[in-house]
Amino acid sequence: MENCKEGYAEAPFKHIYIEDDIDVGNLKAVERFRDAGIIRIKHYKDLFNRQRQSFVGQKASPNLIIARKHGKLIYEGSPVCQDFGNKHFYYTSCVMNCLYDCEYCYLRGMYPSANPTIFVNLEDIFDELDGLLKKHPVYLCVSYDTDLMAFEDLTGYVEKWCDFTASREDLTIEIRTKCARKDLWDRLTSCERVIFAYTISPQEIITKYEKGTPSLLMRAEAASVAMEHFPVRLCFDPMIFIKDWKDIYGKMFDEITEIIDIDRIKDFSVGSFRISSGFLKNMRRMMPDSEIAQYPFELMDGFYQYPKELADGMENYMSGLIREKKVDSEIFRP
Amino acid sequence: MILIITKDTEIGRSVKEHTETGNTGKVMLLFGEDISSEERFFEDGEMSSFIYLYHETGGEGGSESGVFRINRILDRYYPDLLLKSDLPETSSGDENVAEFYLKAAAKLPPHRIHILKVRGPVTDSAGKSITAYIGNVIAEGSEKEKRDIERSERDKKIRERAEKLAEEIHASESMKRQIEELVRYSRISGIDFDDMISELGREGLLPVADKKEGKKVLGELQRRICGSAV
Repeated sequence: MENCKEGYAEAPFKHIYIEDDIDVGNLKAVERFRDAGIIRIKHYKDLFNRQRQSFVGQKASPNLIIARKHGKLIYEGSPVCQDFGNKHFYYTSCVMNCLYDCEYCYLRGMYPSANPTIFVNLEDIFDELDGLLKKHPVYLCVSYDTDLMAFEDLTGYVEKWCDFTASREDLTIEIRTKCARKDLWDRLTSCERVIFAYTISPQEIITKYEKGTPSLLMRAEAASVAMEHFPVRLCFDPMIFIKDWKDIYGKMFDEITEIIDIDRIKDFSVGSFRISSGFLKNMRRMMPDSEIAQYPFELMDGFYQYPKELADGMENYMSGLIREKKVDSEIFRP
Repeated sequence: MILIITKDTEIGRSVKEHTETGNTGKVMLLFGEDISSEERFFEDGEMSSFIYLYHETGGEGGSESGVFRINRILDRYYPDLLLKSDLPETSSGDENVAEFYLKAAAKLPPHRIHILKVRGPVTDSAGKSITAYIGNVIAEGSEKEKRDIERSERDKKIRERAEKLAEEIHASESMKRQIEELVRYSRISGIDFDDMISELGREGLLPVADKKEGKKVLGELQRRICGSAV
């Protein structure tokens, strides 16, 4: 089933695994996949943490898991992730795994399973967050290990996060996405502290490495509509090395600036690909034919990245393009 | 090798009749009441998939008969249902099934463990359903085997090419690993590694006298292949 031709791979979402104590009625995912077989489970980890699972095989035939998350629900942000100048930087995972299939995604190296897992106890996350907000303001990334926008029809969580954030003055959230939906904005509670962060890649990178994701043009259009309602961040991160990368990234920037009014973008994130050594090891084992995973990275402080000269070159170039268009732009780099 | 086990001789005979596989080397079919999950065939390193077939006579309160794919065992174990199949599914509360599953799971990933149940009589139709399923396991396994062989041959060529350059530049062990990474990446990304080496030769950087010079050449090769020579 690894790299399986379509003939052998089971259809996506043929099964939905649901923890015993969760009521099936009212679950959007169950409504959406009416023909899926429901399999009851005791604990999602019995499934999610099985040994030797095929991440690649499960990407071809994903099944859905619906569970409750227990224990700590909000985590301090990693030092290698961008905090955008925020002192109290956290992240949370109300959904694990993504509908998209990007070859460079760290989830491939981090999770034993590719099955999307939806946690239904969002209210518990909200409660824990309220506890933190009593102590200090919080900057929270809610769409790190997934693409929440892409899952909106199955969860409704983007709407819930907007409502929640609007009512908490000291909370700012980031919703990272590649999704090109333009139909949600009217139903979302508008809030200056909900930042939609679009990952922008050249079409050549999208076609080659970001399987199942919307095109560059579609993302640019979506970002352009989004900024009428919410602050928008553009993330040129990760930048991926490809032959003629300079021309390709330059062309990409020209294309998106035809559609997006750069002056109205809140800020930018620029970063070349980097990944922890443990994750890369897993990815290399899982993807022996991957140009991205098998690149001869350099190891620095436990993280693999492009050679410094190349990484700096790429990031400087991208930052330069942005500054040319918007002199006072706020650009965050690793 | 795909190992198929059943303790039910009727199922075993039906499968044998339909597949006429017996022992082809690719598929090993074992059936008999005395087969235990403690048998040493689970120690066979060549096992690529495992199929366990069992029989449930009658039905429970009028449940339909036929062949079923097991999707859950004892509320704890879950074969990964990645292989396409039209077989209806059900769960199993059978401890014996769990034992075989666990033995297989010690060696195999969950998507390569298949548990099928025959409920009711072992009909010709049931035999055909099982055989069709086995056929898909074999076909998918053959594709994987083909890919594994191609990859193994490619890896061998990578190692040989890396060793050749390592010798030429008096490489240390860590330099050898670096060279292998460069050769591998070149193959995958379509860079002509031999061409790069020839270029270094034309520029007078090769051959080298010692490891120190070899290290410089390796650094230059890395820059060119990795795109940092911008």
